[in-house]
Amino acid sequence: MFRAELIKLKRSSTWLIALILPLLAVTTGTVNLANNTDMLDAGWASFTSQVVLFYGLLFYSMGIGLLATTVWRMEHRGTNWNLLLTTTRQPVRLVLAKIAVIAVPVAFMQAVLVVATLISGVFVLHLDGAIPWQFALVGALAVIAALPLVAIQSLLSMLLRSFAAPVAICLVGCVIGVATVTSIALRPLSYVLPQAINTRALNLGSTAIAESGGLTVPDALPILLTAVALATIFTIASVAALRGIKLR
Amino acid sequence: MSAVITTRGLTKTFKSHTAVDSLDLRVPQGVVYGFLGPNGSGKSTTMKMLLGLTRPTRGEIEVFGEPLTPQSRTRLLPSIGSMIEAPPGYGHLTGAENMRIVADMLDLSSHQVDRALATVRLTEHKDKLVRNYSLGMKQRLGIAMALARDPSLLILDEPTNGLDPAGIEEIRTLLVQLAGQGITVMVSSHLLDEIDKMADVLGILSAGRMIFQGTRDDLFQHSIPDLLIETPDPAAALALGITATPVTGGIRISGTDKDQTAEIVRRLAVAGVPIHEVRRIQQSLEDVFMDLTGRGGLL
Ligand SMILES: Nc1ncnc2c1ncn2[C@@H]1O[C@H](COP(=O)(O)OP(=O)(O)OP(=O)(O)O)[C@@H](O)[C@H]1O
Ligand SMILES: [Mg+2]
Repeated sequence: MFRAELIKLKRSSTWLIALILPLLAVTTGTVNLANNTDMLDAGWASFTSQVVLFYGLLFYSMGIGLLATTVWRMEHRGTNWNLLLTTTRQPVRLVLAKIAVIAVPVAFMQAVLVVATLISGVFVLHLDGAIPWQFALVGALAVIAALPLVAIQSLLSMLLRSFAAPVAICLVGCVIGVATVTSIALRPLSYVLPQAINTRALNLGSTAIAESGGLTVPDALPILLTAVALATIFTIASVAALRGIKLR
Repeated sequence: MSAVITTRGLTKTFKSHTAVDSLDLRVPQGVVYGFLGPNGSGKSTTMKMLLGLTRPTRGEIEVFGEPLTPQSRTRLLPSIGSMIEAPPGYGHLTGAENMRIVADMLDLSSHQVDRALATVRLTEHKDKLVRNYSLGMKQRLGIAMALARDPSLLILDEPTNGLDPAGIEEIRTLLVQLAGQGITVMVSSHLLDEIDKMADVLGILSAGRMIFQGTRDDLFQHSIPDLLIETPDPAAALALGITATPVTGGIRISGTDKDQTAEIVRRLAVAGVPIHEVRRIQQSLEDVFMDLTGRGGLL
């Protein structure tokens, strides 16, 4: 089933989305750093923190929202739902295959982010010091941290025929996510809001957001465990929705 | 003949509108079952219920002798090929890639895929993007996707929609041939003429209700052809109070059985109306169909 989903990604705009958003983040990070060299003087640490700042708050999560709705859009065309439902043996397999196939361009997006950041740091900004390979680890962890958002956006995009509606809901989540980072009262929400989980994961080891936590097991593990637990809950909800709504 | 599909009291209600009303379907094994009805009579809705794509409001469905449930559906679906309303297909992919998707979902071999494409004569176009397909090519791809799994039951909703006459004839021949191999084919249409040439059994739907189910011969037997009485003086005949429509060279009366016919002829003769000829008009199936759907059926 996963292979069938991979075939559907051919010639789709998912790759373009996954390429543009991280490049945009690296570009803004590079420009920010170049214009504020007196304030952001910690070399690689300042640069990676600048890159993930907006990316972690907005671009990454919005990218996931866009990828999910793009992957599902083709199923809402014509009678493709009939084909999908008469060739799917079990709803759970369809739900998992879709989550997995959305995660593919998400991982690609992260790879682009990491590679472009390192390239820009070395060749554009000529940063001193060792290349921060742990940034690649943050990039990889963020893929796992993204699973709850991937799962919930997949569910929304499955249920809503509209291309824009799930993306708009995702944006609302991002706005609340920003609030959980800036407001102490809302901080607990950042453990369960998928968009905020992304922000936290991407800012592990960052210097741009206060109390973002270091790239250490005690800081990373709770994020990853919550992510996996939430993704499981959303998967179960999706199977129920597929049974109850689509096969109604 | 054992039945592949049996329904009892199958009903689907949307809000207050009943789309399918107490349907008792019986589709025997290895036949082409023509499922007929005018637009909006509930054909697609019925077929969707048979495939588990929409849940009945009431009633039971048995497929291959098993009650259709979410569990049995998982088991039965790989042996049911279907196409409902319009052919599916991913426009940004080629025909071959669309077929690979179906093959992967159902664990089919490339041999099965190639054979299905060849059967619908799409092999030479398989590497074109589906969005650039003509309507007829899309239709063929839809049928190929239904056929690739080597189904025991085919449920096709208006499969000849958009095909040219040669294409229609080809599909007809194909379906008859498949039935010959023991595959049960349920095919819907709103044109009797199109289905009459291939169907062994007909089910006729009107406003959600089954108004006829049986063979073509049964259908003719049930419907009484109009009576044509040739007379040079139709006005005199009508003056007797006989309900009839004047036609060139006589009058035409519908719905008269043998006794009523004898009575009419006697009255005309007694009144001295000259009768040149009395005969039944040969009816086309289309007339029978229109007659049935207009009248509310025989069941
Ligand atoms: N999802 C739905 N919600 C509400 N009403 C519906 C829905 N699907 C079908 N209907 C109604 O049910 C009735 C039967 O529709 P259906 O599509 O089964 O007819 P049909 O026989 O296939 O017609 P056609 O020959 O035009 O394809 C119609 O009145 C239609 O408006
Ligand atoms: Mg229809």
